Amino acid sequence: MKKLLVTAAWLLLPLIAVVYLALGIHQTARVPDAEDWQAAAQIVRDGWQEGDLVIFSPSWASAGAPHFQGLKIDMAEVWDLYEFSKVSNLWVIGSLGERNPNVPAAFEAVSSQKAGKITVHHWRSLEKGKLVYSFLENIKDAKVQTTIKEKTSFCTNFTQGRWYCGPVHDWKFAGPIERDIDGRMRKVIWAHPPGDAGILEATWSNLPHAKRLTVHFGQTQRAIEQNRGTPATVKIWFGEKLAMERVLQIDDGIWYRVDFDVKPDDLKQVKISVTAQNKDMRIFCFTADLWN
Amino acid sequence: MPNPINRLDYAIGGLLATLFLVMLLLTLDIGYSRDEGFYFNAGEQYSHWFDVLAKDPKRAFTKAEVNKAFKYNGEHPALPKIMFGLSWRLFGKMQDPEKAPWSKAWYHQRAPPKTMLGIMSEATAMRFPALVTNSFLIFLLYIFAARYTNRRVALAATIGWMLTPHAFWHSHFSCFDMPMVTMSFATAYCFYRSVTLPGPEPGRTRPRGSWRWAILTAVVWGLALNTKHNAFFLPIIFLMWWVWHWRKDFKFSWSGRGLQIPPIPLAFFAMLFISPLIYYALWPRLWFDPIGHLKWYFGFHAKHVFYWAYYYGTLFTKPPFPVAFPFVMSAMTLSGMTAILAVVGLAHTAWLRIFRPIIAKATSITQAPAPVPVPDPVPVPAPSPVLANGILAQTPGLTSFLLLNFLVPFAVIAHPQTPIFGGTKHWMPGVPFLMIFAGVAFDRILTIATQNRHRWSKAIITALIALAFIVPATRDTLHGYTNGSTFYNAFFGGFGAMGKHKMQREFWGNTAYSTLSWLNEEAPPNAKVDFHDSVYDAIRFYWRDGMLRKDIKPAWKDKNADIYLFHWHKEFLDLEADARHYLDSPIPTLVIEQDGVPLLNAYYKGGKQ
Repeated sequence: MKKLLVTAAWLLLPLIAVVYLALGIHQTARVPDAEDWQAAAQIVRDGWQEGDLVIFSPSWASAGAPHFQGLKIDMAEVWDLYEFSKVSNLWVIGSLGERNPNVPAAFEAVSSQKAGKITVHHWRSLEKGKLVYSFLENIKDAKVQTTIKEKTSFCTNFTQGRWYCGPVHDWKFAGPIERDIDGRMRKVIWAHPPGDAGILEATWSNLPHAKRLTVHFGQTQRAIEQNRGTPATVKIWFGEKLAMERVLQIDDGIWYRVDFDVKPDDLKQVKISVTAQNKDMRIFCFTADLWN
Repeated sequence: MPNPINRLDYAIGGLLATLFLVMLLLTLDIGYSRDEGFYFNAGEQYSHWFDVLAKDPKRAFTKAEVNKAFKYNGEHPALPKIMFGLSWRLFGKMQDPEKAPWSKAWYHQRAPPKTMLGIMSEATAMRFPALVTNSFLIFLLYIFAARYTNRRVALAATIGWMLTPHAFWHSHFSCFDMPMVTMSFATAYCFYRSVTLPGPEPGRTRPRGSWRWAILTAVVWGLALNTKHNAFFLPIIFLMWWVWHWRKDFKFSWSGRGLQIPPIPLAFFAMLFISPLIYYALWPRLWFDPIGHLKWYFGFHAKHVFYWAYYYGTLFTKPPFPVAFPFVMSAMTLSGMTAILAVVGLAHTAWLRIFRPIIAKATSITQAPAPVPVPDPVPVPAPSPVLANGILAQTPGLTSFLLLNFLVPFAVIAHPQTPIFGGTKHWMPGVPFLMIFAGVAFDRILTIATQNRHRWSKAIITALIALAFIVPATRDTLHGYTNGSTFYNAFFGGFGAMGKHKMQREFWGNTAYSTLSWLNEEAPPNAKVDFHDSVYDAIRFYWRDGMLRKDIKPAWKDKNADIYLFHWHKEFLDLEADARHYLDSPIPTLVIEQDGVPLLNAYYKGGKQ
């Protein structure tokens, strides 16, 4: 009996080794090759419609991205289901250990097709058509101004899709950019406070009718790492009415979401402003969307 | 007591070291890392001092000449870079400025030296001294373990170290980290020998060889100091060990003889007087302003900039850093079976040397003495101390010596205020000692498994257990070695752990190497390539070794670049987004991946397919 126990004990080592080796070989063997990626891309292209989006499962397994040239893809490290809900169709490229991810609540599964070591899932958004207006996509409609020491300047230089308050500048602008915020690269509207105690305001007027306004806002990862500047104050106005005021501490890295039930009068003018006593590294960003 | 070492041991150690050197030489297709680029540059600059020395020795030793030659990269001692530079001059196959006049621009002061032996590429020649030094560690590790434990422990420990994926990867570079591991281990070896020599012969006050090993310890520590600043921790480890090991001999009485201390190892005296001289002699920056330069040097490292470390989804940019970091990272990046053996070895040692004595003591206190008279004693052979207390017990103080040498490098990095950039290399000096514990576990398992077995079944079991350890470690080390710093073991998801657990991927800008053939084929004539995390000194060597087209122009943070090579770092994601914007290229044209995890995304202006 003792001999049997001893044998079982030492046999554990080769047994674990076999499992470990098999695990390692499996982890390598499941990696898709160029042919698999090509086949997966072809499946997507065959069903592609304007407004669709390709995402990867797991989100970081985007090694085959080059095969999707010409299509719209999301390579961010984690999924953002809110952003995904804006598109009509999602093409989910499942590989490695997550070939068959669960379908999120806002989507319905349409189809699944295998392409070698990849499974291509087609999901349809249940929110389709409910997005009325994206502030980011319509940045050209915004009126942007800065106020520094009671002197107001209007940002009238619209270059490469961004409003510059003067000549083209690395950070003095309001407009689209991709930034690392709260664990993910996000396409957002950059709105850095313009100077110490200066105010940056972006105003959209005569917006289309909608039931809900969803605003996301926060500071970039790079900003909060710096431990510089002072807290930033964010305000959202419906006309003259202050709808929200929030202070973001310098180490606050959360990407906040706020939903407003809106009335037609509210949408005559929506203004988002940001200011900080010391502007250093207060890289404030936001998005806003109107939904029915 | 130590085992006698014979020719067979030296042969085995030498054979393993040679095998390791061959393994390194066969796997040199590893990109030039950031730091390595700087040391290439330093090696090249320092080597020119020897030209002056040959032509005009008097001028070579002037302050102006020394400062001119050794000014660059003064934050690290000069010795490794001198070795890199001399090896480069001796073995490197240089560009011929007459045949390739454009190549002048790739050299320091536009002056390529003449080829001497010309038997290696320039980068390999730069790397060669580190390759040899790192292979010498294999020999030392085997001999140390064979001397103080047994051959089985020694073989397992040495092979475990040879097949440690991150260490193997780092062993290729003309950097200081792995030579520092060698020098660290060599100093520890010499010190331990100096204090474990057999007792003095009649008529002598000290054992034969006492001074020899003490002086050798000091010389090797001097060389270690000239390799990297980690060496300053070594005497602290030795001092801690000496106090611990001789703790019962420290006595103090108010009335009697005051403080009594055990004999101080001669090595301490030698280290105090000889090592500083070697430190001074081999670092030319100290020749004319030793205090000033050392002040600057210590200030530089005491206030070292905090780089980033991506660890379980958190990008650590400033203290406090997680205490568990070096331990968890080691568990994840040692080959899985090696990690298990190391843990078993540590646990086994802890049981024998700590917990079992405590339990035994507690039991003897609580249990009353047996009332029954003992019958006539039957002669039972006393268990050998090796079997009773483990293999490490055969040399006094070995367990604590190994533990301290393993733990202190880990503890230094575990301190929440110590910068944790650079992955696993900064606590690597502790890992060879950890491997000895893995060897102890291997030996113990083998002993149990082969007890009372026939010769053939013994051989089969030995082979089975050895293969269970060696085969997975070999695969882990050689699969994906080009990207060896991105290795995580299969228990944590393999290379996929980088994505799955949100861990650091690329470290040192070396992945650009894997894009070179693509760049040579696809880049437009005179293309401007933003190499991102790769440094110019690495690019110069890609040119010089003929790996990169000469018309390709490196650029950094250039909005007009034609190609952008994004080395995947969490902290640089914003740069990638900017490059996508400026190059109008939303999707990479090329992705360099390891087991499905992107390490580098290459963007082509306008998004070429």
